[in-house]
Amino acid sequence: MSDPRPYVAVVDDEESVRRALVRLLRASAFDVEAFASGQSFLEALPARRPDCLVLDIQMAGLTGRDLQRHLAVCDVRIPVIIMTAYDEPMMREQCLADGAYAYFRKPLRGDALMASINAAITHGPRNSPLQNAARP
Amino acid sequence: MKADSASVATARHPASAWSAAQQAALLLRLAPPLACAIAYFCAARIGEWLAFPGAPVSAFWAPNAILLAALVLAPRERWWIYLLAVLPLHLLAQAPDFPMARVILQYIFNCGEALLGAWLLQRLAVEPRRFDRLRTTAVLIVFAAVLVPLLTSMLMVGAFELEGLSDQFWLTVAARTITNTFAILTLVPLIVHGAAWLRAGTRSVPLWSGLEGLAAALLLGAIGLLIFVMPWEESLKPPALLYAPLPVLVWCAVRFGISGMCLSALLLGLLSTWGVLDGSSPFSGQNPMHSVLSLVSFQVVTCIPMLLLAALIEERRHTTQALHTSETRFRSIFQNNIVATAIWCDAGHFSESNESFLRLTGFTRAELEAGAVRCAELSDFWREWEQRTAGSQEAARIFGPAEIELRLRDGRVVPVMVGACPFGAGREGGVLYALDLSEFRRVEAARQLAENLHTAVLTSLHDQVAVLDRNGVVLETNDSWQRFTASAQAPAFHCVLNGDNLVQACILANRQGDPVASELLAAIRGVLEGLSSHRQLEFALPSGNSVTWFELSVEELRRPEGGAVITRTDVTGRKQAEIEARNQRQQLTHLGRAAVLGQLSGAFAHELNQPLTSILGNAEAGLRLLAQDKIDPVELREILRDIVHDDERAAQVIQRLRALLRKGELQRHPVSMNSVVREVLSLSRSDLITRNVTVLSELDPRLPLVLADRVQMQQVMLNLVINACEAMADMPPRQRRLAIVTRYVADTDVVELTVRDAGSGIATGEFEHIFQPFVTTKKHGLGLGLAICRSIVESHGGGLWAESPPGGGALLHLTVPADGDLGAAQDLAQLPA
Repeated sequence: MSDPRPYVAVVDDEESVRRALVRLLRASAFDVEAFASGQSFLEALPARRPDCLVLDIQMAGLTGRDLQRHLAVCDVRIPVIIMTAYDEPMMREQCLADGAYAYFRKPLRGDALMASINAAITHGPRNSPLQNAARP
Repeated sequence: MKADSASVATARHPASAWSAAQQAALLLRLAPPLACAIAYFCAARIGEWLAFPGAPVSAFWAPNAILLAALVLAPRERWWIYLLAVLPLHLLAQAPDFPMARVILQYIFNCGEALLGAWLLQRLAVEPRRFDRLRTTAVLIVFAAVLVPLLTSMLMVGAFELEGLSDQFWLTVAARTITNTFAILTLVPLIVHGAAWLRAGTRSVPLWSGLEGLAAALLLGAIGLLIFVMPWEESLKPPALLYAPLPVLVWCAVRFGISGMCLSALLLGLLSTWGVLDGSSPFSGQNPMHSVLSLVSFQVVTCIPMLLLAALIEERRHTTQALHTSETRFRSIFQNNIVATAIWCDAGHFSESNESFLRLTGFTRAELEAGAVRCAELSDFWREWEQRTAGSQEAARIFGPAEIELRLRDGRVVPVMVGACPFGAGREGGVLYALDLSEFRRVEAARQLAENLHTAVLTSLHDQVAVLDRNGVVLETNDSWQRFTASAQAPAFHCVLNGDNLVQACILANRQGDPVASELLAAIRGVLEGLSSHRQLEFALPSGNSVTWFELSVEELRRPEGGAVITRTDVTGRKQAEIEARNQRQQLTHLGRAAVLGQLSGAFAHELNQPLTSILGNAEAGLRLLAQDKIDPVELREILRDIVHDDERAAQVIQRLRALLRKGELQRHPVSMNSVVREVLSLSRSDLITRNVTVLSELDPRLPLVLADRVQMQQVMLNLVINACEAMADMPPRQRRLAIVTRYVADTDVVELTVRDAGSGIATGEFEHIFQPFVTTKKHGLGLGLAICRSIVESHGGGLWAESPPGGGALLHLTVPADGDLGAAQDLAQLPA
């Protein structure tokens, strides 16, 4: 019997952020799994595909942007919600252009995040130009 | 036993040596009296031998003359020794032949005669042992040879008559007197001069003098034999022949002096006595007593004028010699005197001068000797001389010394010091002295010039100058110092003047606790005692509402007597500029730091937003769980603990930022460079992640601490890290490696920190250029970062430079002196709370 709750994956290299988001999302009736890096998320992906991905940008090694692009290029269609602790100019536009469902600056309010996740699960992922380009 | 006998021997030896020396000295003292006594005895025996048969008198009685000569030669306090020494030998010579009473009386009167004669010679003659002096010879003749023997003879013969020993008073008196007179006249000068000759050491007699003496002696002997000894027919014996020896005696007196004269008189006396004893002499008669008296009278009468002649001639010779010596000496003084001296004669021209005069005036010796140099040629002198001496008395006519300008024949004008005095009462010429003052004037002018220059320099100096002697007494101060002293409201030791003792003033002020006085005292003492040649200090004095800053330097006074020069300079302007520059430097450093932090603003935002995100997330999760009423207390505790932790983390970030943005004075404390590296890496962590830069740090765990301002060191480190990151921006992410190494360099006792990037490196020749201000390769930036970094590191006594290491990239070296007192840091330094 599978869990009826929507499954949300959180990728952030900061443990305290992961712990807080996991708590928040579980309290909001989501099935949540947190990953410390993009690499560990990709490793777990074949086993279970999340309904929504909450992704931090600034991470050592594979950054959030790298992972977003990788998923698009591999045509893994998961709605992605981007969050960042430092808002660089044009970052929001680039992320949305690449198919992100939403873009949040940290610290982010729980209500807004919940609403965005629910909407993303409901509407499904947005198309990405990278995805289109990869298609033959 | 051996040792004992040796010690006895050594003990005895000095005593015996001492007594031998004493004996030798005693013998030497007794030798002259003994010799005198022996000579007295021999002379008495000869006198007895020469006694005329049938007459109670000897032709030559020498003992009294020998005793007199000995007393003349001896010091007066030893005369008694001579008299005692003579006594036994007198007895030995006389006692066998005469009654004891006569012998004793003879001894008494012989001694009395010698004593009185010697005493009169010493009292009346200026030089009693110089018979080549007319006065001494005259005293000898009149008193010692005639009057004293006459007196003693009269007394002695009177005593004889009282004792019944004689009955012919006047005849005996005459006979004794005349025989003693001849012996005294001939023997006393001979013995006294002979002793002087022996005492002066043996001197060789010139050959010609020896031959001449021999010839004179032979001639005199021949004449004596011919006249007194050879038997003559009564009719053929002309009385005038008695004068034949006179020319030879005069010859001897003139050529051989008093001694030669005495020897020739003795020779003549010997021959004439021989003739009388032989009966062939012109003086031989029926009455032996008369014969003796006639003979000795002849000898005495011949001898006296000859003696006087010899003394006169010798005295003349001595006087002439002394005059010549004196003349030579004075001429030498005249000729070699550095004072120009010239004598003018009544005709009004210079007749004689020394070389200095010729050199000064330019006249020649030939002109002078020809009488061609007129006094009026030295018109400046002559005019003065005539003006001052006209109509004045003799005593007032001595002119000078006076300084005049002397115009010479060749037109030169020479400053001279002149003096002159006339000869005689009238105007019979005079002598002029002149000393050339040109050299003195030149030296004086140079000295005056140097002194004027010295005074002018001191007066013109803007700095305040005081010169101290070795005891700290002020010798001289310049105008600037005096003006300050007169106007400044400064402690007394700053206001010393000439004659005051600065060291004492400082000691007094130091006792009252003035720190500047204490410092100045140490500086002055250090220089005066030769511990250092230069000391310097700075101090401030209140001046109205502000302060005036002074720099005071103490320099060694380079002269043999020592001392110091104090220079006080108002450096308020410089001091203000320094303060201004320091403020600007601090401001610039702060701006540089703000700029660096600006570059890291993204990283700081990230570092703050992360904990804020956690806090917010946790708090909302808690609220939601509470709203659903399914909160687990354990979970709630964890949520709250995480919130507290994240809040603390955020506060730390803010604290670090505040510390870096702090604006203020340098605060140097012991700092671990390892902790500086860690703090900076922590601050820039997000930035490094964003830039995909991997940091490899190798930090020496036993690194010593350094004395530094932590914030400034962090600023430098941040700059180096950011520069390194930017240098690698164009490289592939995998290659973006930043290596940070710390180590201790024992050789130079410094802590070294290196930052190496994997960028494109620094072009050769740019290693120094990159540290220049306003040099940058970035689009945005002033290019002040590295210039500020270097100025910070250098202000800590360290260094900052760049290299191109093998393998590419750039290598930045930073060194800071290790603080030896602080020991190894043990890497315990932590971030500030």
